[in-house]
Amino acid sequence: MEPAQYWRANKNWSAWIGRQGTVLVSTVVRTSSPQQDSFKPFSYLLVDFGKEKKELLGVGHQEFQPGDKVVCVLRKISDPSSRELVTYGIKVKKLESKETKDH
Amino acid sequence: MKIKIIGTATTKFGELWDKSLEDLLREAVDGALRNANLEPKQIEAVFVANKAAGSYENQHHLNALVSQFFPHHPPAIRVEAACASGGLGIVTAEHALLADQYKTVLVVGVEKMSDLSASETTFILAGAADNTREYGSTFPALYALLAQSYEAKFGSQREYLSAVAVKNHRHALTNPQAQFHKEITAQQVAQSQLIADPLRLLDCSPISDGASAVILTTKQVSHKPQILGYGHAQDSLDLAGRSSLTTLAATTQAVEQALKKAKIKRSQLQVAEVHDCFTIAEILAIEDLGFFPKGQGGQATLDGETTIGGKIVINPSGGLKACGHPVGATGVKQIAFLAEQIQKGTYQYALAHNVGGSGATAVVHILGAS
Repeated sequence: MEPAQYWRANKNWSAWIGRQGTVLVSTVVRTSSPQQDSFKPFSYLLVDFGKEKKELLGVGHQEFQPGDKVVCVLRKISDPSSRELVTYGIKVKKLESKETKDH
Repeated sequence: MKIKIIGTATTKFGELWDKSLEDLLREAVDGALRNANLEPKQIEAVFVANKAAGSYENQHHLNALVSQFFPHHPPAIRVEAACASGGLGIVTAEHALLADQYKTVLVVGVEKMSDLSASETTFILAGAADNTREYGSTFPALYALLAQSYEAKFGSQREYLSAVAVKNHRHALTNPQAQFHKEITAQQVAQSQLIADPLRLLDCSPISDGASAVILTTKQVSHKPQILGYGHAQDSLDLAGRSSLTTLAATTQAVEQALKKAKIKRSQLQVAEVHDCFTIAEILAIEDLGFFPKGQGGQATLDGETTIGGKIVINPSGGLKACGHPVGATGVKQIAFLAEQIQKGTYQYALAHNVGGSGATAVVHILGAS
């Protein structure tokens, strides 16, 4: 993510942290773009937040099922490189899972 | 006003390491001109379909690149609509013809993908998604969400997904331009590497180089295939904005527009080239196009209803899955291939279905013998 894109995007993230939703559908991504290479395998989900739906990455190696309750958290969303920012953004983790180690 | 297809040419699709982007374009353009028996100066305008030459080859300004192939430098336009670039390039040309701005135009689609690694290609193709709302997604991941939604509604699809791949590889055996000339088994598909659950490596179309060109005219010519109708529709770019994940609404709208313009019944269609970038995409397509009821496309494929001798032949070229998917060329190749089949007398009515991204753009063409 380019610094200017990151600067624009991160303005909205504080509004999402802590929001809870329900997984509608999910997959596990095993071949990714280079920017997410170290996260593989990772979940990619469509989450229902009531008034709106949103596509998000799942934390760590958590796998999700439709109906799982999730909460938005701030996590690294791409691999840091020597020339880019360390990019944080919104991911989701399971509400029930307290012991799962995430990024 | 009738639009006829008077020339076609498609390069071999595959990992063509000895051929550059320009080599591919020249081969398709020159081939179409020869096929139409036209001189270059008879082309009044050129439409170039391409997704990502700027990312793959740092080659932008493709309209000028192709126009310079012609001694008179005809007006040229580049069209980009992700994987639907080819179909939309043809629609753009049709608009110009129907507006009577030109009488004879050339449409060429091209993509040179094999110069970069698979992960770099994954990143470039992800540009067909909404890069803010779908950050971190991959093209397979988005279709995997569609597959997961479909399976949640209609049950496990593994044997059906595999049947699509097996059938399209078998069809490609008779297409000399196809990337793969190798039969595969359902077991090989089901045991191939997982890419984005439930989609496996052999559920995915390949990374391909290739180009295809067609020449369209509104001049009176006889015994040439005709474009009877076309439709073009859009949906939300991000999946979160869709009303359904088991139907591509843009496809259902585009096919209705095309059938209305063509003034034929769906049952008259004998063959279709549909956008099978992933095996689930073919099942969605044959249902959304109205060939089979919702939830029954997979069983129809397994039962042989979509191959020669079945209800309708789907992807006789091998489709994107086995013929290959040089992104910008695909929509043009579908039209070129079907026009050639009609010209040979194999079919009388045919449909081409080209999708951009995960269903945000859909273009449908209906061709017929004149």
